[in-house]
Amino acid sequence: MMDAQALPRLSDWLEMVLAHPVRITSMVPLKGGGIQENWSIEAEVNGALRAFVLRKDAQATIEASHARGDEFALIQAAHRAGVTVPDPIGFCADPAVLGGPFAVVAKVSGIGLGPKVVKDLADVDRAALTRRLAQELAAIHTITPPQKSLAFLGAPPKDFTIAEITLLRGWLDRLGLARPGLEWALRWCALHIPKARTITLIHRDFRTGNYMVDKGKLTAILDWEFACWGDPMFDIGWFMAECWRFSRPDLEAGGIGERAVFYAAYEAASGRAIDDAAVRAYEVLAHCRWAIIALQQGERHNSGREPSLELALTGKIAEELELQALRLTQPSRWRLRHDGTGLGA
Amino acid sequence: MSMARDKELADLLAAVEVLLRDKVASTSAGEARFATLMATSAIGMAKRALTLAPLLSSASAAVAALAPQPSPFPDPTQALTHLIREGLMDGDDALFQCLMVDAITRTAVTRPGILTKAEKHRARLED
Repeated sequence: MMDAQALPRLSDWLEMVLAHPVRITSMVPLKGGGIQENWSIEAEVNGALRAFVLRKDAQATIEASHARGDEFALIQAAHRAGVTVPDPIGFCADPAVLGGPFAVVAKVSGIGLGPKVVKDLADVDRAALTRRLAQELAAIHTITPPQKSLAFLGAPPKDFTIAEITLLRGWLDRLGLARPGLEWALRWCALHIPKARTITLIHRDFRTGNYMVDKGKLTAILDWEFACWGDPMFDIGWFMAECWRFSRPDLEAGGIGERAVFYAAYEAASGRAIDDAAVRAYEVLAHCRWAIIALQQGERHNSGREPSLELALTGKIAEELELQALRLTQPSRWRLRHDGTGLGA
Repeated sequence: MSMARDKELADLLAAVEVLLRDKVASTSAGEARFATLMATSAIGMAKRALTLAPLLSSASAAVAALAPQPSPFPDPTQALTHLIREGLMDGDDALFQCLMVDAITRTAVTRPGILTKAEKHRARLED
């Protein structure tokens, strides 16, 4: 929350960043954003009306999310690579301004809520949007290590899959939860996801619900807080996973379009062949990952740190995600069971 | 708590669920409607958890029964989790069947609409 003096302090900070006189005319909290507080700001900048979004950490954050300054650096890197992101305005580390670090980006038009995006595309060219999303992802994947401005990401993992599965198991352990169904699916992933052929920047949460669409046109890729060095096939698997298709499970590319259309556009834009088996295996991992993040969200409520019915209900999503992961990993699909060629994480 | 008491409580929650959905959510808008729908969803889950309590218990007990005995872990499910991680249950059909029934039953509480007819039959759930 903001105190009464926050507005003038924020106004002064914006004046410094934009190098123009600023008068904030409104500042209202935005819904959603379980990990950050998001605020919509309107201001007169040098006499012209401009709109911004301010992002600040929520009271309790989940384990994998980057600090605001790191996320801002990721948005800047994506912007330089030609990815459609909100124009990065500035980052403030000084807690004296708003009580904690925050970042400000230009506000973009459109809708972002996943179920609404999937539902509201009746009169638009779904194939064109599918191709555009594939091209955006290909642009993200042009960013390769090392990058000075992204040093906080650390060194690329020696084996991304093993690192990811180890991370997820660690999250489960820290939650103190024994979830044999999720463990089963994670073990399947350890045996069946091939080693990454290349390592790039991956968004790690590239899915319907994390981009904005205005009249069928993409206006911004959002939510960079999970980005890391990793296997680009992970991002494609995450985008394709059934849990992110909302009311259109038949449209495998994020509930928006056909898988083949997405694949063709990605391959054309990136010059990189898609490993379909890897993508489909990453779809299993996607269900596991989202299930464990949902459990973390639920724990924010269960622990009493942040009582919220919305967080409690998010935790309950883990049940259906575990079921979806099991549906995809029945014993007949354990191809590498006894031949010793699995990754064996 | 007796099954009769569980049924009585489930019936009470069902009445609240209908009231919220049909009388409150239908006449509210924006934030209030969103909050009402969340409350309706939570009450629906609580109602189904009471109704399905015996099946939930038996499904989780069937999973736990596959854990090795004796074990250094206080909770049999933890012991099972350890075996799975170590690759000692890879592709095990008996384990998979129990995990599926357990997951189906828990999903019958949280989001029954996504279950297939075959899955409901598998977990002995009423259609």
